[in-house]
Amino acid sequence: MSNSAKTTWKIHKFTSMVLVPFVIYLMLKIISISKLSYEQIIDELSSTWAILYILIFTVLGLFHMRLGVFEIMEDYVHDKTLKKILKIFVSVFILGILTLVCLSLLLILIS
Amino acid sequence: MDNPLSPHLQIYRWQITSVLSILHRISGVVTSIGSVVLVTWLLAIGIGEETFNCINSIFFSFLGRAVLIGITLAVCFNTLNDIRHLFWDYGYGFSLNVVKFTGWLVAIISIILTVLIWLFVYEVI
Repeated sequence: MSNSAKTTWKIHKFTSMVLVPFVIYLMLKIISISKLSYEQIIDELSSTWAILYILIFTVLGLFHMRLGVFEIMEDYVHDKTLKKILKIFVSVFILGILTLVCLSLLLILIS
Repeated sequence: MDNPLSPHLQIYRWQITSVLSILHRISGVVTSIGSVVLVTWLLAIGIGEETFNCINSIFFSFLGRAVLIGITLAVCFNTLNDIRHLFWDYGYGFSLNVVKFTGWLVAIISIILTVLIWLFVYEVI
């Protein structure tokens, strides 16, 4: 295994570990939020902790997603051009999600 | 070619270990695509109450709920199986019997968790 593959693996494992409590919290939060009214949800989501949580979770999640999907492609996509196209597609997808999360948070903050 | 390749799926006999390994990847991809749902919901909250109600009614339609339950199962399974993988990374749980046992455990607990979460959402419990 090359050095970069080792580093990639370590980052992937690190994101796994940190994401476990984040996902548990997310699950509990979504259940409790689903019972609230719109105004209460806005209140809940515009707290500093909520915004910090959402941003950190998004970045960690997207890193984890990118590494996982690239690993799968490494195993099953052998055509170089196709792999390149798929990698661009995944990167655009990730940037799109990140942009939309930031936009949503801005909208929530000014509302 | 730097990375070792995974085994070729076509010539593998179905067993709990290999099935879970494949499901781990599938659930990861489902969770990734499922992130769109979460972001749509967050964006709808940001846009306004009308959009939020509209998105909510789509999410809570029959098809919407089926998709959400599927994503819940994928997230539960991916997280639990990842914990199993983390134990392996530290050298625990490698004997065949334990691997099979924890495999079934992860599969069963993720189904139970999904059911519990949705019972909470429906306010049954």
